[in-house]
This record gives sequence, structure tokens and C-alpha cells, in this order.
Amino acid sequence: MRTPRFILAVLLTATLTTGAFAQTEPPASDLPAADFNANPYVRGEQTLSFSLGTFFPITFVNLYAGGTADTNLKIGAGFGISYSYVVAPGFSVGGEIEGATCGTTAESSFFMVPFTAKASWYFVKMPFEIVPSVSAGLAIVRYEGYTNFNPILKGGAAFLWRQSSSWSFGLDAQAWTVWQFYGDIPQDNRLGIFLDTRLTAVYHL
Amino acid sequence: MKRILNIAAAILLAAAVLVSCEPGPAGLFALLEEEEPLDKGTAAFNANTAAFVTRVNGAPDYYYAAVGATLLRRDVAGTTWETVSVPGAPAGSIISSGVSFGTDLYISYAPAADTIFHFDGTTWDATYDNLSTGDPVQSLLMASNGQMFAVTQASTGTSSSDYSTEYSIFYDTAGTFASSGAAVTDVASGRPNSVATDGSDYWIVAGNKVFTGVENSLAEDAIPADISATKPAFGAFYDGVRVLISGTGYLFNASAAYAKSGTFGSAERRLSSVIVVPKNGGGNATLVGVKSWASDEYTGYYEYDAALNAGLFSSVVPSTAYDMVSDNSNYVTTLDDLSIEGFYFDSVGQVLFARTVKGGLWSNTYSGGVWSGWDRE
Repeated sequence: MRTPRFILAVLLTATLTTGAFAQTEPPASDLPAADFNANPYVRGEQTLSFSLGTFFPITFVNLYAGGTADTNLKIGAGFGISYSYVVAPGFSVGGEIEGATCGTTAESSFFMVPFTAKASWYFVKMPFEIVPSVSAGLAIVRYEGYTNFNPILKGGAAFLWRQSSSWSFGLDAQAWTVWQFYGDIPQDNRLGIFLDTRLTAVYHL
Repeated sequence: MKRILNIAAAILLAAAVLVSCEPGPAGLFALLEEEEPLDKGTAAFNANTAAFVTRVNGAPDYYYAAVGATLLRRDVAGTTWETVSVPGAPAGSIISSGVSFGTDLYISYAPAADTIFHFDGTTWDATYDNLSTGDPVQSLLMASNGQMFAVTQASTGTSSSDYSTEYSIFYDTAGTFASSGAAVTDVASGRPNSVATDGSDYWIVAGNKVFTGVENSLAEDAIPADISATKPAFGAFYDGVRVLISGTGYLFNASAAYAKSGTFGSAERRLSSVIVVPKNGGGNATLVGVKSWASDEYTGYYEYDAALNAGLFSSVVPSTAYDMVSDNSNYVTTLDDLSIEGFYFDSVGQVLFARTVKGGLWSNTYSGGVWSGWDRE
């Protein structure tokens, strides 16, 4: 019965700001000692993550002529939702849908919506968790009324605090590499590099 | 695991299907690299509409332009615009238009009545040719042979039910302005906006009407139903063989019984200005400006190989690429999102200007067979 759990997760997220302070579940400090020492990410565990944060454009690498260039993008906002399924102890696979938007130098707008498959590793020292991950997929890139679909590779790590048996909170930092290849106009081939830093809430299904 | 992969594949497929995809004329990151700040140009032009830009020869040669009541100029060889003081300029009026021929500059003010200033490079004449209609001069039109016309506007009525606007056209001759003919005295039309001449006759485009003939005997031309009050025409240009007129949705060849081009984007599209200029790599390009309006918010300009004008005119259609006076990246990040009020080409300096609606003044220089690309003044 995954659907009711999912709905519950959405509802919990909608009330996250108050819910975090109104938990009826025991806080991490009250959990049994065994929960602190064992890695709880065993096969079959599932998580939903919700994140919101700041998106930093770093640079564009010219894949045709070499060199880098200013992105002409301002610091923007990023958000996302991801699902993970633990397939082996301390290792999960899943999917992620995200969005990132920035203003531009000429006061236009730019956004990306990546859809990625994600692999994560869990290193736990309760109540803290370090979760490095890599993702790959396709990003919808929209600018000046034009849309491109571009490959995206991401890598980074989340640093989480296990607040309860159901929730973890923390910071997730990911480096995005978005690849633009054009066979007919190779001089426009670029690699976009971005840094995405977000506050993350993880719900343990 | 398989189920998860299936879900991921379904999401990617849905994204590909549901999101509208217009690949764009170039790489999007490459386009972004080309962006420039909106306030990069001269402050007086930014977010404003220049009433005119024109070259005036002298020592040195200058480009003149106006925004509101402010007249500006820059050395043709320079980059910095400076404000020019016009002695005796009427308070409370703006510069409605400006034209030049050789070393002479003429500017008009409105709503002050009959106000035309002439500058010969040394002295300002505030009562040039003593036009005395009692009405404001809304346009000065300069034909390529040096014949100047002044357009006055008479408005009557106090409410929307009885308000009317009529225009009269006068031509400059031997130190005075004279009527261009009964056909253009207090005529209810659009504002006479542009002029073209084949060396003997003139074509003056005025929205729903086109006046043609010699300067002292202009008459309403027989125009097709595709030019009307709801489908106005704005621009005129003589390319050495024919008079091109930019209307709503179409160009017209006024020298061939107003033969109509193919559709420029939409039958609602208001084509503000038409001009023929050199093309990257040789030959000529026809540029057709677009002015956004309530029923069609399209912007930018169209271009096509000017050689098409010599063929079947109904076959004239805009090019799908932007590579004749710039390149795709430069176009998309500059004029693509701006309404074009008008083009001006300085054939001596080989500089093309675009006046945009509240988007500043832009220029583009042709040198060695290649255009530099659009940049803010």
C-alpha cells in the first residue's frame, strides 16, 4: 500500500514548518540505543526527500574552442523531490525531479527541470547521516522561449540529522553538470556547471 | 528494481511528450554567454524610444538622436553621446521628429505649433521657413533626394465621440512650406510616417492611406483592401527599382500595383519599417521591423535576401534564420524581444540603427563584408 504512504508524506511535507515542532514521535535522543548504532538503511527501506535552497551558476565550459565564460545568470533558487529504495545495505537507487530557476543579466529568465536516476550511499553515525550520491538523466532547459533537452550528471552529498524514526533534516549540496551538444552547430557546444545547495527534509516511509 | 526503472522511464517519456519543445536557433548556454546588461548603453536611451536618429555631415560628422525633449549627438567615429542645447526650444514640448540632408539638421517640436528648428552646423534657426498653420508638427519626412515634408496634426472635439485627428502635408520649397496638394490637407488618416521616392514621384505612407505624386500634387493612391484603418501600413523604401511598403502582415510592391508578399508571420503582424541593407558575405538583405500591439505581441524583425524582391512578389517570405546582418545568438539576445520603431541606415558610415519601443537605440556596423552584430548605443 504505497499510495496511502505517499499521500501521508505529501501531507506531512505541506505542514512541515509546523510539523517539525509538533512531532508525536519520539525524538532521536529518545530512540533505543540500537537505532543509533546500526545503519537503518536495510533492503526494502524507502525514503522521500523534499528540498529547497539556493542555486549557484558557476561557469560555462566551451567544449568547442576551450575556455570558460561567465554564465550571465544570477544566483537563483532550486527545489526538488526524490524517492529512494534501498536495494542493499547502505545503498539505494531512486529517482529525482528538480527545478532550478535564475534571473539573467538582461533580466530574462532561465530554468532547468532535471529528471534523474539516483544512486545513494548511506554512512550513519546516529543521529547523523552522510549520504553521497550520483545522478544521471535528462534536463529540460528553457531560456528565451526555447527549450532544450540535455544530459545531466550530478554528484554531491547530503548531511542529515535524524530527528526521529520518520524524519531526517539537513543540507544537500550537489554539483550539476549539464551537457549541451549540437551536431549542426558544434561551436555552441557547452558544459554548464552549477552548484545546488538545499535544505532537505527526508521522510522515511 | 525493474518497477523503479519503469517509473523513471515513464517520467522521462512524459516529460518529452508534455513539454513543448522549440529547440532554438542556437545553443542555449551559448546564447546566455552573449547576454548583455540592459543598462549597458547610454542612460538617456535605455528603456526609451528615440524619436529619430540621423547622420549630419560636418567637421566632424555627427549622429543626432532625440529622446523626449532631449537632443543628443555623438561623433560618427566616437561612442559617447552628449546632450545638445537647442536655443529657444519651446518649454513643455518634446522633439517629435528629426531629419537631415548633408550638413543640415531639422527637428520639430510638439505640441508647440509650427515649431521647426534648423541647424546648419553653426547656427540654430528657430523659425525655419515660417510654417504657420497653428498646428503642431508631428513628423518631418526627408526623401533621399533632399526633399523635405512637414506633417501637421489638427485635432478637434473633446470626447471620444466627437474627437478627430486630421493631418496635412507641406513640402519645403525655396525657403517656405507649401501645400502638397488638396488631397493631403486636413485628411483623416494615420500619421504620415515615412517617405520614399524614385527620384520624381513620392510615396508617403500614412496608416490607412498612401499619398503619391510629385511634391506639390500628392494624391491618394489606389491601395488594396489589405491596407486599411485596421490593417495600417507604416514604412516605405525605394530599393532602386521598386517602392516597398510595409503593411500589416504583408509587404507590398507599390511599383507593381501593390503586389502582395507572402505572409510575414501572421496577418495581424504590424510591420513597422522596411529597409534594404548589405548582407553578410555580399548581396543585400531586406529587413522588416515588427511592432508589438494589442492583438499581436510579436517583436523583433524579419529578414530575407533582397534578391527575392525581383522575383514573383507573392513568393517573398521571411528567412527562418537570422544570419544576414547578425547571427542567431546576437539576434536572440538583442532585438528579438523588442518592438522595432524604425531602422535608419547611414550608407556612408555603413552603420545600421534600430530604434526600439522603450528598448533603447541599437546599432550594427558593416565592415569588410561582415556585420558586427547588434549592440546598444
